[in-house]
Amino acid sequence: MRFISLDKAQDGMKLSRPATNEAGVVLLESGTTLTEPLIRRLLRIGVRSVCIGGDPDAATLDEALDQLKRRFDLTRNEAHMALLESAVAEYLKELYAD
Amino acid sequence: MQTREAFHHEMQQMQELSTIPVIVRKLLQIFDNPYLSLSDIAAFVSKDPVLTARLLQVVNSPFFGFKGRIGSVAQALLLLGLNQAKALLMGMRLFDFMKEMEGLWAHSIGCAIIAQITARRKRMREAKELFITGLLHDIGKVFMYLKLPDTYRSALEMAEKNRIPIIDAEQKLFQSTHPEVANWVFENWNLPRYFIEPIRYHHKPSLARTWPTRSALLHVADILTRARGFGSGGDSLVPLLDETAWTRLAMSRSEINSILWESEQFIHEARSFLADE
Repeated sequence: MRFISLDKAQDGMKLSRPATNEAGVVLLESGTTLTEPLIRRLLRIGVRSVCIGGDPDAATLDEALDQLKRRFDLTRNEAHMALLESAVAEYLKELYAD
Repeated sequence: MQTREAFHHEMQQMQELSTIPVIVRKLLQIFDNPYLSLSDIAAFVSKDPVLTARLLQVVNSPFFGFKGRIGSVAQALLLLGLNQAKALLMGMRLFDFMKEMEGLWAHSIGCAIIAQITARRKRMREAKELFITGLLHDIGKVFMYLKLPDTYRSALEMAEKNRIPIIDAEQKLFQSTHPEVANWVFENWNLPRYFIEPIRYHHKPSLARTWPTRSALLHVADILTRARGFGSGGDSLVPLLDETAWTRLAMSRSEINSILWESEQFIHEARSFLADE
C-alpha cells in the first residue's frame, strides 16, 4: 500500500487503510472507493493523504523484497544486519498486505 | 587531480564562491547579521514565495506539532528558533541545485522524519533539531557537486558500476568525503556544533565526542532510511551499523517496525509538499 497526497487522489481509487482525521477518528472505512464528492469533503475536513494499494518505488511485494535483498548484499553477514534486514522485510510484508 | 588540502581550502571559501547560489549567500548574511531583528529576517524570507510556502508547510505539518496554526513567517521563525530556521531554509534552497541526483531529496526527507520519530520515542527533547540534522546530513554531496560537477558525476557512475558505496567513490576521486566536506563548509557558516558534529560523523558515530547520542541517532536513522529504501543517497547499499551507536539506541525489532509505520505516512506527505512546485 502507499500513501498519496489527497489532491492527487482520483475518482475510483480504493482505500487500503481507513481515512482518518488528525485525531485518528475514522472518516472512511478501508475498501471505500473514492469519488469526487468524497475527495472534496475530505479536503475540506483537512485530511492530507490517503492510503491506496502499492508503493511508489516498487509495484509488488516481490519487487520490494527483491530490492531489499540487493540493498543488503554487501553487509548481510555483519553484526545486527540480518536482524535489520528481516525487520524491514516483515514490515514490507505488512505494508503490502491488503 | 588536486590535493586534499587544496580541495579543503576551496571548500572553506565556499561562502564567497560563485558556486553558492545567491539566495543561500543572502540567507547566511541576513541570519548572521546581529543588527537585524526577527521581523527584518521575516521580511526578507517573505519576499521569496516558494521558500515562504515551504517553510509554512513544514512548521504546519503534523510532525512538527503545530498543525495548521502557524500563519506567518515571523511566527514560524520564532517557533523553530533562528538556528533551525537558518539551516532549514538554506537546506531547502541548496537541494534545488541537486536535481540531477534524483532521490537525494527523498532520502534526506526520509532520514529527517525517521530521525525525529526515533528521537521522540527515545524521549529526547531535541527531536525538532534532529529533523533538520537529518534533512541536511548528506548536504556535503551537494557542495561537492556544486564545486566539481563532472567529478561528482564520475563518482556516482563509479559507485553504480562497481557496486561500492558512494562514500568510497568520493574518497577515490576527491580524497575526501561528503561528511568531511559538510563539516568544512558548515564551520565557516557558523552553524551550531550540535548540527555539525552528528553530520560530520554520521558514518563513524563513535568518533563523536560532544554529541554522541545525536550522532548515534542520525547514523541509525540514515541506515534505517536506506534499509527501507526511501529515495537514494547515491548508491543503493545499506552500510554497516556502528556497534556503539546501535547499542546506545538499544532498538528492538518491534521498535523498528513501529518507527517505519509511523514514518510512512509522513514521508509520503512530505515528499509531495517539499517537492518543487
